[in-house]
Amino acid sequence: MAAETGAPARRVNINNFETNVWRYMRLSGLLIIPLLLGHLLILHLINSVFDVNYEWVIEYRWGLIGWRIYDAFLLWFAGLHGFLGVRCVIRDYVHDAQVRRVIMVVMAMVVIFLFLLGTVALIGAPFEPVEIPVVP
Amino acid sequence: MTMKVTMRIRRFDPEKDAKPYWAEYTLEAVDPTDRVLDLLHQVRGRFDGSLAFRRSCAHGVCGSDAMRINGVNRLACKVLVNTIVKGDEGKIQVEPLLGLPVIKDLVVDMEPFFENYRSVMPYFVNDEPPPARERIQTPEQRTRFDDPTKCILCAACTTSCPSFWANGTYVGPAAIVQAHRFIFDSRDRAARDRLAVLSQENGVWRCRTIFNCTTACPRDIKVTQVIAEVKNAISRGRAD
Repeated sequence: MAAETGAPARRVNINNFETNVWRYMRLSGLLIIPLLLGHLLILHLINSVFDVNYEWVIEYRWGLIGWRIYDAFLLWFAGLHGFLGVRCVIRDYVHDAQVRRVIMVVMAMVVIFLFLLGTVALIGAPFEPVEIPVVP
Repeated sequence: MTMKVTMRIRRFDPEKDAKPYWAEYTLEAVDPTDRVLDLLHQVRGRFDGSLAFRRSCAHGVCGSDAMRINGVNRLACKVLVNTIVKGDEGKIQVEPLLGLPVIKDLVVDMEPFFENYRSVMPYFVNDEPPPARERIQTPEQRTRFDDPTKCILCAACTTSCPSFWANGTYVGPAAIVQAHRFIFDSRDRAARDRLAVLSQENGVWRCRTIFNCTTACPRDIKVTQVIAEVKNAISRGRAD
């Protein structure tokens, strides 16, 4: 006699998307730590915030391809990591499926816009600085 | 030597009360080696016979008297008064488990918890014809899932989990522990089905590795480690 079996009421396959999101969060989290520490060190500790201006960024950061790749990694890894983190929070606390979908779509659009803006700034031509009017 | 203990208990009677409230009962001569469960019996016997709470074996085996004692999920029958009240007098706060609907006083509706439990197929599955004697297993294979076999389904872990508080559709630590017990059993054949169930949106990925479950478990199961092993099994696509 075969042992009693209990097949699940509804067979499902392994959810690869959620599994990959989990993998990405762990890997990007590890990668972001040195990237962010390096960013903090260079822009806030080694250089004074008074020296970091348009000319400095163009000459020492944007002018060197290595730093542009560094900043691209920082933008994409930290940006997507943050987006997926907020997605977790929304899925925890917003219980209405329709409201959740609307929030997710709006948030995804904002993130895509920020990604595009950052990417254009990284690979595009250097833009002209905007003159900030001095308040008398 | 006896102690003076004030029991601060979260009360709620759906037939009388609009919302829960705190009630205090002072017990003048408490034996320091009494358990919190004994004190609840004293309150019910001396002050208010309508105080509702669950208990069954009263020896830490059945898991029916899990409740939040001084802010931590414990079994009332396993907590001695002198471990949480120091000196001659003190206060003990008792409230129902969080994240489950309160039926009355310290009694919660366990159905959402058991619904999650049932979703992971917490039973042995093997369609192969059984051998003449038992299905052989080496001591090493048996040790692989020894820890989760200690679970008594008291719900202390699941109701200590902030992810479960925020969203009760999360399957919860206890259900994952029960799934682990069969996923890593060499005789079982439904590991992949269980891993698939736990890989869904409300499965293991809602665990944020907070460790509340491990702290809360009255059987000292390493719950967070068990969940991590299931996560890794899903990631690899197999249990071994």
